[in-house]
Amino acid sequence: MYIGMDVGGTHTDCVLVGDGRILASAKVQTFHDDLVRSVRTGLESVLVGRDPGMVRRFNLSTTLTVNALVTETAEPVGMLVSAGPGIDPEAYRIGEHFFCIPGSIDHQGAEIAPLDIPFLKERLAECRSRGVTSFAVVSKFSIRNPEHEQRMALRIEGESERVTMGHTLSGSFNFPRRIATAYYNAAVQNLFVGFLGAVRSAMEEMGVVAELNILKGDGGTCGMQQAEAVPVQSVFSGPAASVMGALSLLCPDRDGVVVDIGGTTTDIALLVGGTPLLERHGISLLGRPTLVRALRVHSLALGGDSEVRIEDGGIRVGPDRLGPCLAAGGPVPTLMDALNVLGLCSYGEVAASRHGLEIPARELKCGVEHLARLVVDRAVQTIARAVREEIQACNETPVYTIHELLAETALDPEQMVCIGGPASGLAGELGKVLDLAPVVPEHFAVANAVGAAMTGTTMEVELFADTVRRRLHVPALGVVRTIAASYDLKRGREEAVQYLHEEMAGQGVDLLPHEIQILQADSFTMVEGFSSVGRNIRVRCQRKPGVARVVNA
Amino acid sequence: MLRAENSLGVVFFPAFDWAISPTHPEREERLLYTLDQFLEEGVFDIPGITEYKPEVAGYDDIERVHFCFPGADRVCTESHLISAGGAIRIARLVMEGREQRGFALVRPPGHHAMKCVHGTRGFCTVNIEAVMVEWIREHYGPKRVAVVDTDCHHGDGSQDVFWHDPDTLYISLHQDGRTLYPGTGFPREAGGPRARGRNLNIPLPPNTSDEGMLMVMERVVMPILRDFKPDLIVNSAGQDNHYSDPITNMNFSASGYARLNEMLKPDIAVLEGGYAIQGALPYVNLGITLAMAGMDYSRVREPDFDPDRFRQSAKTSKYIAGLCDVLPGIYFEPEQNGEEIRENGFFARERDIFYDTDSISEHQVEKLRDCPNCRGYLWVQSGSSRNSLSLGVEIPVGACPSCVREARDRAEEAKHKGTFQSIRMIDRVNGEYGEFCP
Repeated sequence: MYIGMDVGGTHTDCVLVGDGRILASAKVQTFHDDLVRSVRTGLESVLVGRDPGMVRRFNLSTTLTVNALVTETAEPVGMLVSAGPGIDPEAYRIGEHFFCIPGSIDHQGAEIAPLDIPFLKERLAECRSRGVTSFAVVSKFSIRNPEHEQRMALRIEGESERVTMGHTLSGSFNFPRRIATAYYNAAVQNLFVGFLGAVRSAMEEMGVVAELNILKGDGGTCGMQQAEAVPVQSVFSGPAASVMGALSLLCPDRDGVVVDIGGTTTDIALLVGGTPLLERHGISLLGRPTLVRALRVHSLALGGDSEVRIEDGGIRVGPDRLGPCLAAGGPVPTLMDALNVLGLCSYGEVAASRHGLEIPARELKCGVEHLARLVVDRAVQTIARAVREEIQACNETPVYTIHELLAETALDPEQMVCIGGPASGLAGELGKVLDLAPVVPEHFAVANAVGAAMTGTTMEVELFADTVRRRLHVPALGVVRTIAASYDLKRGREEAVQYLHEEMAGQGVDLLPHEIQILQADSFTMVEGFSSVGRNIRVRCQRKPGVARVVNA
Repeated sequence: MLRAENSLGVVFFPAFDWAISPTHPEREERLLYTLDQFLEEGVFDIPGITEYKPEVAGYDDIERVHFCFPGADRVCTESHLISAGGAIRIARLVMEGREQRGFALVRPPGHHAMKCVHGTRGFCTVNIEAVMVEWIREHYGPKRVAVVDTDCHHGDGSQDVFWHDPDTLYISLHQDGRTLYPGTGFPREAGGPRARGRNLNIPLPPNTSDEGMLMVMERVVMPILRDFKPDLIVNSAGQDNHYSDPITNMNFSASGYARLNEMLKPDIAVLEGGYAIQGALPYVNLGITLAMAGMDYSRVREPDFDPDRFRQSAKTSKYIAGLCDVLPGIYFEPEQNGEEIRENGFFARERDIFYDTDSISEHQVEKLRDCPNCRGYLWVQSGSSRNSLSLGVEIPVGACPSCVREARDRAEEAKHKGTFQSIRMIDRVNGEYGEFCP
């Protein structure tokens, strides 16, 4: 049996899955001051009358990281940065303890200026005098040469302090994103490690001996060790879990759209060949772009609780939410009330919906049904336009080869999954407008928890080889090695996949061939004077985000 | 927080799967390290700087500018259509007002491609700036355009394409043609009889540094631009004046290039040459991009840059100061006599052109109708080692009815006679481009 749980902003959703069927589900309140209590309550609810020892896997999605950062309850971080020529790193100042250390590495990984160790020591002493015990170290081009980050980290470790090194977070370029990512990671690490410990204790007390995995923003999971080292990966795992839930209930294998219509917002995600699209470089957190892999989810301020208003003789739906719908005792009519009136939904007190919409209907001098129809049409049109714009935006993503530019690979969804409270009422209408046959899964209310339960471990590996310098790097794994001058792209591909296999095996996953996706495999001839001197090889591969199928039970 | 002072659209298209040949300077790797630098600096995350995909130019867009023999589809590959399409995309963004300025970082380059195209010369096949400029005029009406070419090589192609156009001011700063390919670009080449003074060549001596280049910008280029009052300024942003470039002998730096752009304030920059792909391009392109976005570029410098090592000699400074004294006169008081001969109502010139990249020799006779009412139509008879005698006829924007009629009648007559292997028509009045069909 598997358990999936999404500790969300208001509710904690939990499901128990066995033999590919949903055996139990629960929706309990989230206690922000005591997330472990929410976890415990969720577990208890789905395990009523069952043997907790039979649970093999517990996949947990939590808003802990984001909450700590938003409420500024995260820890102070000593942020040490070395940059060299280029944009002034002061532009990326973050937190109270940000210091630039002289030292520089170029785009080939060559050291241009050595790290100023005495200066570094002074800044560290300053941090410690301010009581800082969490550190993040980032140097420009550290994915090409991690030495400066490693040297900075060496000065910190050993004093019961934690340090995050930028190059271990991602093998992708982007110094400012690396700074923000490392900073946020260091800020939440102690908190996250403590939380995981508390969850483990709670599980033990309850007799749940399952392996614990943490949901990531890319829709996959990671094991405890990874989660403790890189807790920042857990941000925005909630929306990702919902998308994965839609997949696990359906298993689509073609291009598609997932529309998650909630109370306040509607989230739109796109699938290419059944695999959800990721943010190109990483998600933004508190307004700062990061290198955290995450599903690309476009959020629209429109949902079941969106206020319906008459403005200048016309109808407005959203973007405000003033409370729940009238049918649930709310203060103003909402989209959900309109769906109730039309009989597309029957949520709460349907009569209250009808009664409440009579006032604006009189104002517009039309019948209640007519008004409700206008409201629903407006909402459907708004969502449809957002879906079309998102598809267009994805098709506008820059590419760097003639082959990719000319290849007919435009995203063209053939199917649509709608989840969320008002989905059953809106899906049919939305499908008509977008000319897609909508699917509304039965368990949409806990799709997020189902997604959490059924998703697998994901990982990306980047490999760089430079046969002129005879060096091979796999930044995220800390691999730096000498290679032969004859090293080629074929070897690079094989090795990248091999590293992925090993890493996944380390997390207890047996990687299957169809789960591997080569994201990039390039070999550039390097020329000096007018003759070829070697090759610059770049390979990126990942285990695709994916889910096991669940039967609607 | 970092923010672009003016919005900047960037088309970055490194064409990682295209090369002239594996070890040619114009190869897959050329913009690799520039892309690495841009990604590492997070350039496309800066609010106000946006990356775009190129569009693919149509053959019509190419043949609005060039006489392609025997046809655009025979001389262009996809790479050229995308490179020109990248420039068009940037122009579209700027003209639609979606971006205040734009930078097309595309390859292959184009400024050695002339009006007639039999193949590739100086790594260039189609003139991407000219294709862009004429695309703008086709869609947005007549525009006064200044093209300032800061590539180290004389832009002989751009000079040729704009030669007869009084509405385009073409200024080329380059290493003196007596010391570098293509061996042209002297001040006496000042534009055709109807556009005299609209072509300005500024040949700089080898080892000119930032100081010399900026002096020329300040004393020659900027005063002329202030007088010309262009609707649009385009920078042909070649980067091979850099001190580390392997095929030239100049001493410009990344910060010099950035300062130049800050002074010039081009609406659009289009990448041209530049082959120090590791030591120069990552820094020069970054400097230009930040300067175009109105941002601080003071910390952009090459790791090995030492201003003292690249200071120009007093002799060089004096020589350049001398140029600054005389060159503005070419624009402000152009000489009326040029190299062309006046005969039977035409201005005629005869030339041999060599295509180094493709080893093609071309011979052409070019005639411009001496018309009192308009710029006059252009009649070019051109044969090469690749194509037998062919004809190109251009009816320019604003041509008078009699020039339109005469040019088309003569082209039709030539077609009946069958003298030419092919006849290409650029009819800007009727919007007909490519093979001439009467």
